Amino acid sequence: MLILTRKPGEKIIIGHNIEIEILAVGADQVRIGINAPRQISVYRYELYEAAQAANRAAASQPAREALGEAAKKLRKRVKDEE
Amino acid sequence: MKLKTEHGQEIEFREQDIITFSEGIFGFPHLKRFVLVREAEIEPFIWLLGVDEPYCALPVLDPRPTFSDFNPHPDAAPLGRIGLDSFEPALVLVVVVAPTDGATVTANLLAPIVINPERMIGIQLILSDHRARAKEPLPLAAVAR
Repeated sequence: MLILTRKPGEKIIIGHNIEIEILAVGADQVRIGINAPRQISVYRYELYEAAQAANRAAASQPAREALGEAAKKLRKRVKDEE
Repeated sequence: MKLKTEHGQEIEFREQDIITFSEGIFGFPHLKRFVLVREAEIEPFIWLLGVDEPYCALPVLDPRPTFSDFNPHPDAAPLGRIGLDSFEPALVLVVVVAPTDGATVTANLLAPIVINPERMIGIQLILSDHRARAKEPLPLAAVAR
């Protein structure tokens, strides 16, 4: 891993068009500004991981039966609301 | 066009049914082409089926009838990548996890799948709305009268 030391107000650049600026440093938090082309997604890592995990779980469960049961309940719920 | 699922089920679809996710979806960045497959048995769930890897089948759901408070304000940038500037004209779906062990069925409200139906292109994005949860239980209990 490349490790750089930066001060608030200083930046790093990734490639030609992704700029990362250290905005502020607190006791246990760092505030970071990111400038990237709009086709580049920027997410908090733990959210990205959660989305990956949910998709993989959805795809790996042979869910037909459980899904059928849930579907029945959902349909009933909608009917009851009408 | 035809494909065979893991269970040997044959699915027929047309070229124009294919939705292209140029960035793939989370966990499956290599899968770019999907079709939506409806099945009466699992209605209102729909299968989002990878065309190039048909054993990648994710149950998805239109969240709005079930989660009435699902009203996200997505960032403009990812929507722009599928030619939209709001959720309005989009087909919005959330991924559903239905565990076989009887555990709670959950929907991922944090990372909706957004499709531009006119251009048949889609994206999965992560909302910056911190209230949106990746494992929101489906309200499956019958409504009390």
